[in-house]
Amino acid sequence: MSGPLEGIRVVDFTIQAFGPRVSEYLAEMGADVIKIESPKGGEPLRGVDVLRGVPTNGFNSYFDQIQRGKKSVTLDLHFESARQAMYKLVERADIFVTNLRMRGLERLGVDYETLSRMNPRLVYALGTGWGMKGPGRDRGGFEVTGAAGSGVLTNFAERGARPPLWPPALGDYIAATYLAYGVMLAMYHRERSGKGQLVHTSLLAAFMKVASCCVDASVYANQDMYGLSHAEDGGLYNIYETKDNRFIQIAVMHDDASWTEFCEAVGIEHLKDDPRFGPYEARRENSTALVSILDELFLTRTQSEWIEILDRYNFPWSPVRLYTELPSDPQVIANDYLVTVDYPGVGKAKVVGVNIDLSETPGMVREQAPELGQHTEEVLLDLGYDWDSIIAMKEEGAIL
Amino acid sequence: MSMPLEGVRVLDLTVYAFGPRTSEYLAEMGAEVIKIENAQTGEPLRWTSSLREVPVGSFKAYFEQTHRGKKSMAIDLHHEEARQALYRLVETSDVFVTNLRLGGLRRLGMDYDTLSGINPRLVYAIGTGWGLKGPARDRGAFEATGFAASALVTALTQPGSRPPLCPPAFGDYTAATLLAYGIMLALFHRERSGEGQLVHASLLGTSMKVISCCVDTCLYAGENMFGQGHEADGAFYSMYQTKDDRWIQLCVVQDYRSWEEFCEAIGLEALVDDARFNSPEARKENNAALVAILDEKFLGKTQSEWIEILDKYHFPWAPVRNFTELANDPQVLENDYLVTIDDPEAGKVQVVGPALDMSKTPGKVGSKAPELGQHTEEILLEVGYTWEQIIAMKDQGAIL
Repeated sequence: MSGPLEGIRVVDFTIQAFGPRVSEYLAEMGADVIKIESPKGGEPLRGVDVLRGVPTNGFNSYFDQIQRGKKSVTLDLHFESARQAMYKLVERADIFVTNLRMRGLERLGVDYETLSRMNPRLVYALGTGWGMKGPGRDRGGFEVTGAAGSGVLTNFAERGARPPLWPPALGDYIAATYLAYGVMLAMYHRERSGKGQLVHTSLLAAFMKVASCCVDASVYANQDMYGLSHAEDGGLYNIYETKDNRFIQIAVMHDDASWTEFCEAVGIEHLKDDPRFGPYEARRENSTALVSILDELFLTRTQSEWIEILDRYNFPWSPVRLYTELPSDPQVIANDYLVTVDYPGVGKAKVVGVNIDLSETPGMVREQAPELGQHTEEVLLDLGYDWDSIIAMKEEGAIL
Repeated sequence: MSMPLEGVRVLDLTVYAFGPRTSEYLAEMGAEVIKIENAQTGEPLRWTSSLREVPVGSFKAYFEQTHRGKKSMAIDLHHEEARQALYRLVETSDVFVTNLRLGGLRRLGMDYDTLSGINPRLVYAIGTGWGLKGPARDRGAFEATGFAASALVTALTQPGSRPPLCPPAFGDYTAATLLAYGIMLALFHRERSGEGQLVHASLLGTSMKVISCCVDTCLYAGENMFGQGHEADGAFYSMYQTKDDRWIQLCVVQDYRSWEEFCEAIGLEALVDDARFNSPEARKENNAALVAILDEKFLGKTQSEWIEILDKYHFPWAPVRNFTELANDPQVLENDYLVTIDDPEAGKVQVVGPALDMSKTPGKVGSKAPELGQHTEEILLEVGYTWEQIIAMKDQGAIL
């Protein structure tokens, strides 16, 4: 067995980023994922040619990274023949993943009630923007809506300032991680009980969950939390600018042993026993003074000079990287956090790896994403369709 | 079976946020989680007095939400007797979760090789800052280091500006989510094969995973991605300031099919047929002009007035919330994203719920976090220790 999900069949009826990322998590772990696409254009991300100003240059890595190793089958569920083919796939599937809106799923006859009747062992995974209930249940959700709706975005900006524009897909991928956890909880339960079920999370829910320490604290204190200004942040938990206008993140909290080590590392041994900065509480009290000392100090060397100095120390710190620096980062290389794929027509490209280590059943970055409808005929034949019925479906437009 | 992880025993040798959040995910789903705490100091989060500038008060939200429903054993692993007791517990456990540093785990005899030798069915889950290998493997890490090192935070920052400080625990909880998924993969595999294994995720690896669409695109293009200004990403995909200095996030992609619906929603019907904006191409061309019109329009009403208007529409948008507003958000309440618990000291408190819907085996918010060492004796008795032995261990300081 090479991946933990070998032999598991997933029907993927997803679009954009949230749903596709969920089933890609499963594909990386060995599941056999069949992506159902509309014959009219297919997955919208197939058309991405630029991401926040960065061109894809012929390798649409955004699409590829969440469709790799899947099979593509075109089915237009508005046709009865296509719907019946979908039902046949569902009957023999273990998991169904979708992030279409709930009303659309009902209209197309692929809602939980319908599919779970057909296959009571099915784990039906649904990702939404806002939850299955409530006044916002039918509202679209997209990338940043969970971060905005949960209060997380506010926490990234100083009071009154414009919150930053959110990076693409980050919100979807975080929610997808949580839903993948839910899928495996349900699979584990099924293994022990024989029963499938519905598992769901939303962008809103996932963001409240990953920010729950702020949510719970703020709601209880009835006091909001904003980003702090540079001077207000703790001296040792802050981002400092370097001589070349780059940044170093220092992330030491309470640990007083790290303070001593830090003083030695950055060459301020004379402050080691300064009572203003002695125990954690003092550092916090005199944060402004410490920040201004460190502001001046970090400006005296470039980021790479600081990296060379700090590399010898094990207190928590990090360079603030640019993406293009990751391939030469020895830490990234040593852990296979980037892997090289070699695709016909694309050549070699470095892409993010599985990034979960499993000692006995490791996952793997799968082969190239499929062409639209690449596996339609193969999968239908496998379901027992003959060529005549496949051709009839093509002619009516139910498949491509 | 009422919860998916009923009957699963988890040993939790964790500190701060990453590890504790991982095992709390399991506790919410019915696992029995035994937290091993340092007999002298206990979990550091027990002593958190404020989070950013929000005071903790009599309800330690941060500690509670990572320790609810767990049992606590106070042990000093430097004593051989204490170590032997933990080994006995390992024999009866399904999952071991830790985020201590690798060197420390080896010194304490709690590394993977030792524990899997004792119990080959054990799923050993480890969270690190930087990975199991590489020059930084022994470096500490905390919350924001993964976001800095993966360049995620760079995508939130305009070129040359200081990156924002990430909200507390956000990076840890995101990584905990991926590790929880990994644990369920390993438990599923164990159910089918009988073998345990090591499962690992790091702050760095997870950050790269959730921002992989930017990483892969940038590496292939050889170009970096930064945060962008208000006008940069399209008029429909930006944040607008309201009359009361709050924000509304629009998440409508540029080719949104219902331009008419959007114009009607915000009261700009006059623009429907305006040649500058009536096609996706025209809107892209005249983006700056459209942003300026929308800037002015949104300043005309308060955020809550806009919410009332936009609530009727299903295109993706979101109010940029503050955390305290979640307590009254009907969408949050109807979906049980916040649930009310009755705390023995603080009374009724609203906290983030499991936020993962499961139709047959829902999770739940556990009971109050344990006192330090509350269950030490109970658990030692259960694994066969006599009261004499327990008292002897107390006398030598091996347990509290």
